[in-house]
Amino acid sequence: MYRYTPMDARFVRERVAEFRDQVRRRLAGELSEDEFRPLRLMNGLYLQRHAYMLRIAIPYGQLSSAQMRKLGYIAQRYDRGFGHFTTRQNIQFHWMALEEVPDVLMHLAEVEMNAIQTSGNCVRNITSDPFSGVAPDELVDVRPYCEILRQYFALHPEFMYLPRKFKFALTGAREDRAATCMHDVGIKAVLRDGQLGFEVSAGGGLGRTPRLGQVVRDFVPPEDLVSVSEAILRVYNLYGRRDNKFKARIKILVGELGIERFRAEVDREHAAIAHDKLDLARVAELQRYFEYDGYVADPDDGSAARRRAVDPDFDRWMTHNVQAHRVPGYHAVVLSLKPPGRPPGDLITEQFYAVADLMDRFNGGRCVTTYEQNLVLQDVRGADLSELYDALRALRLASPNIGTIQDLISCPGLDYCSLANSSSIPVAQEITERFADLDHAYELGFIHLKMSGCINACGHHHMGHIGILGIDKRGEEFYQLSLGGSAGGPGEGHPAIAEIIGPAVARDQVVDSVERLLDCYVEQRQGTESFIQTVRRVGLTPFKAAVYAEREAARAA
Amino acid sequence: MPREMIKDRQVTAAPWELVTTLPEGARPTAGQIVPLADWLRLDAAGADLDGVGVIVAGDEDLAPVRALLARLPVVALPFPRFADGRCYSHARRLRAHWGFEGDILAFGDVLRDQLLYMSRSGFNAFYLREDQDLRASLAAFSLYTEFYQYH
Repeated sequence: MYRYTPMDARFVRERVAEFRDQVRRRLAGELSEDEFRPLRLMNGLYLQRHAYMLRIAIPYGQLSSAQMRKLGYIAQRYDRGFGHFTTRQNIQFHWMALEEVPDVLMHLAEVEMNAIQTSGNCVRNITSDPFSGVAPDELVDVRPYCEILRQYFALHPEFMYLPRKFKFALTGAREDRAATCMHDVGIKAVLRDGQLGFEVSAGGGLGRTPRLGQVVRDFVPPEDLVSVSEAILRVYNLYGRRDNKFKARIKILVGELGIERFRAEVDREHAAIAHDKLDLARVAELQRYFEYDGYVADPDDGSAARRRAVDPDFDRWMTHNVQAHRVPGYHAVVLSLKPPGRPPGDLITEQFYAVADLMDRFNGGRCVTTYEQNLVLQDVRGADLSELYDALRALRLASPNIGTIQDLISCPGLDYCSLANSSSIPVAQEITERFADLDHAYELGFIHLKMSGCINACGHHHMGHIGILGIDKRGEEFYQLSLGGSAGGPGEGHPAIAEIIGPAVARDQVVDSVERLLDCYVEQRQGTESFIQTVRRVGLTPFKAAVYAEREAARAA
Repeated sequence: MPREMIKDRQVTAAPWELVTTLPEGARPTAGQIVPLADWLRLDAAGADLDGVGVIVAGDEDLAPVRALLARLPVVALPFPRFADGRCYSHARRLRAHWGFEGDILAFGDVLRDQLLYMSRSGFNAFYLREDQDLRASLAAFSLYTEFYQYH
């Protein structure tokens, strides 16, 4: 993985020093909260319901074991013993004290981490395919490009006070495992006549106005990727709305201008900087950081296959949590952070340390965080699978539930977040408990359920095959159900925004309603059709009937 | 109008008078900075504008300024709120894309913690908000050894 140069290391320390002084001035009353807020947000620090929350960047999801241990230390020393992995490959600690944050940031700097631009109206952490480098369907490893963009937009002086936040996602594979469609800028590698380029889209986003990105350029040569990105940002910085926070994202600008006019503005802006080419030697240089040199000649001794034949639990884990790898005999293993009944995406202190040890033993000291709030060990030898499984099981990280109803996405919700209207973690726990029986979960097949505790949509409910949005109705928690969303990932078909199926249901009706939706799917499905395929074929009507029939009947009576 | 300013990383006397609303019939004199629309109107009428600068707001089209650059001693860009970042792009265009060599002045809600970004975008002159400590604010320019952009 990428390692800091002396310049990176100095830069991050200088950033900590700057923030330490800003915290000091805030505590001394020299900075008002209004003046301090954007400064702390640019350093990842939110003021939440009970305490400060620190969001730490995990650039395009790549973590080393030393970093994982440090996160464990921070959980233990500065938090209440846990951390929460987010859909944007970051990690959050929810129990921070303001005066300690500069020290936490220094600890992070020691392991080449930072919290720069994990919030604020600036370019956020750049996310990518967690299987970059190992996916069989990969055209190009985009991590060098992610790193180039990360550096270019780190404290980019022109773009620190954008109208609103700005998120990039990149994928270099045929399947989109990075949800590029719902990002402010989504970048997908494409081949044209054997030449590598990038399809660049803009204007995707969720929140109260969900939009899918639209193509700005269908083929950007690699050497123009940074300049095209900069041109998009300049157009947005100048013309994005600043009069209304809810209309300030680039999706609104793209919508108001229309994609043709937006494209013309970008082209005009790009013409002024198009001479500034990315040096492709730099890409090659960075690529070396990401090449794994631990591959051996005979990675598979057949032990996993033998155990599968006699151990049904192990077999299920192999089926659901172990994925294909471009090198024969190697496997990408997903660690499920979704044990039923636990908050999705969390690790506790002991797990951080133990996972770090497993990363060292089985995966060259690295792992990746995913959009689905899980972890991936990308380069596991076939011969190690059995031993790894036993270790993960002891840590409760081997739930064989990837891609099932148990593998749901959720934001932290009302338990921590001051923006939330409603609980999400407890509801997620109730759902996974209801579907805790694995045979039942398997019977329901491949499904993405996504839940947000408010309209800001951190849980990406718009992209859920089943989406759940918590709302507040006269002081009570209600939940809006939607169907048919898709981030355009493997098996999901084209990207789509979920449609609301009817009136929000009360908190105590959520799990039953989800169950009715799933029962309806089982009745309606044909052959091996997945939930999302059935929804697309039959439409919403039968699902609406399933959820609301009783209510309608009661009203009629 | 501030008495002191930061210019080229030094605290110095503030030389310019910002005339954000030019009175009807007034003729600006050298050392004044007036709204772009007024400057263009007076120029078209044949007025002597030697030494008079322009103010360009974040939502104004910067393009007409390009042809005037050789005649402008200073372009002043307002920050109605420090979080309004449009003028960073104006400054970048003026300095880097168009090669403007005169002064680029930030005024309005100009605070210590944004000076570095402003300076790196092309501003060299700052009328800070009244409550700001100018001498302490100079520290903003030497926070970092190196940056990732603009090599």
